[in-house]
Amino acid sequence: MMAETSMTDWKAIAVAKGFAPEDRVILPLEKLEAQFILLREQIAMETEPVTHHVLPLPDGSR
Amino acid sequence: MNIQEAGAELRARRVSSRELTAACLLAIERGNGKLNAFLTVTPEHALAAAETADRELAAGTDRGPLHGIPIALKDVFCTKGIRTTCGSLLYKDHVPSYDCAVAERLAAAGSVMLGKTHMHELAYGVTSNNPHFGPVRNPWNTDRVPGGSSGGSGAAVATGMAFMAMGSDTGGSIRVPGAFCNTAGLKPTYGRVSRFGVMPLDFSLDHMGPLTRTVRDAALCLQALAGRDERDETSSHAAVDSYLPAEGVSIRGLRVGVPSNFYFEQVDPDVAAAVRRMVQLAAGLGAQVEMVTVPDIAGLNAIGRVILLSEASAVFERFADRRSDFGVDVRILFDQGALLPATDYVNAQRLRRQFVTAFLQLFAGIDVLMTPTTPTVAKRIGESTILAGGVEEDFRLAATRMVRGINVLGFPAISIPCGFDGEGMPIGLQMIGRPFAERELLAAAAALEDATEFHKRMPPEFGG
Repeated sequence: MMAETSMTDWKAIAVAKGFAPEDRVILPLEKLEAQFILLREQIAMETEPVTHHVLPLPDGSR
Repeated sequence: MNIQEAGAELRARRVSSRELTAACLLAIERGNGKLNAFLTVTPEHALAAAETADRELAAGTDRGPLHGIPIALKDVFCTKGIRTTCGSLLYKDHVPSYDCAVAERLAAAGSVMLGKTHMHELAYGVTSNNPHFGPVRNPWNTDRVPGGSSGGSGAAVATGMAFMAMGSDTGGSIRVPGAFCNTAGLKPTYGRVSRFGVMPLDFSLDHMGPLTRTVRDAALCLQALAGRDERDETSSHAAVDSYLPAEGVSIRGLRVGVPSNFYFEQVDPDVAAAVRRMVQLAAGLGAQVEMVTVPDIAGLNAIGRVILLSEASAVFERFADRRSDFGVDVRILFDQGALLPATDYVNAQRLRRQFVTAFLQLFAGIDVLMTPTTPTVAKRIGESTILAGGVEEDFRLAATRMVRGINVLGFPAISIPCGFDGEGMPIGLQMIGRPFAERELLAAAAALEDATEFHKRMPPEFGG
């Protein structure tokens, strides 16, 4: 079943930090999160493990 | 005149590097008040380097195609003894004690550094409307943005202030100003050009490359820049090719993919028509053009935004107590990045690997993918939204919609001039290649450039 949000309630943290719910910090991030949650469901567990999570190209091409 | 032409004139002794440099300095003196393309100009340094280049040539020492050629560096490249601001108050008085690898290699190739070009604050945006040092203006219409974040580099090359200006590209920052200012803009493969000594925005998305007047000039610059640098662990061990396309290079048989999804949606009609004419031109020159379905680019862009927001906020977290030193737009992005969960960042990197695999599969069937660089031409300074294909969009997201994902992949891409809209504003064609296949990508771009005249036009107010 698809998770509807992240484990971290970042919006609550943002509001606690003083950002208004409708401001330019929260609104775009909400849209991005909604898009990202759909993508997250596409992660195939059998792709793990991989090396270099944070570099775009595999070692073979370096 | 471009780098190849200037090089021929230099070697024929019909012009000196000092004369070329003086001409660029004059163009800067005349145009910079209108365009704000340079933050720092170093005439004494440049003239001294030019005289050295002339003496060497006279003595028979030729360092290659960039010998004696006046160039500029975006103010994100550290230069020894020369202020390097990154377009930010955080670094407004920063004078590095060393040269970055790019500056070293360009100096070793004999080029003449004119100064440092203006940019979007911290390279974090596409307008180059800098709240601290003023906006860079588009030479084709000074009420409009030049694109960014390498906006000063685009404006400088388009107006003859420099033969080449280096840019950095984290989500389109070389290709977007290239498209908006009518220059070539090359983002090489991730790891192809050393980032040692370049002030970072995002360590897994940052790429360095040249903005030039022609594709072959970009190839000459890449030749000087490419190669492993032990000081940058992300720089590649892959062999350096010979990048300069031959005269009369052919694209007969080249497999050109044209996306049937995403890239022509919500695009201005003038932009779509100009790009489709280039596709027809490629077919007419013998390329095998086929429509292809590309992976989910909107998703790829979302992954790129999660990575960029997270990594950039990590890079600049040390300045969290200096909020008033950030412009509003950049501060909002840092706040957003600080709020994103770490799990999103890790999952974005996992998804990134899946997309790289999907794109490698796509490129098994094609050599080059042709798309618009941007969905619209340059907007007016200060506008935060834009109509793209009749739909209102945030300008930053719209302008990076076609280019951002390619940074996530790390694939090479180039923007070249491909037309003008009804108001005379330039339009860019993006060509994307396989990792480390810059040779093939540049050859394809050069063949199209050879068959068109768009790159020869200069802004009317600046010599056109």
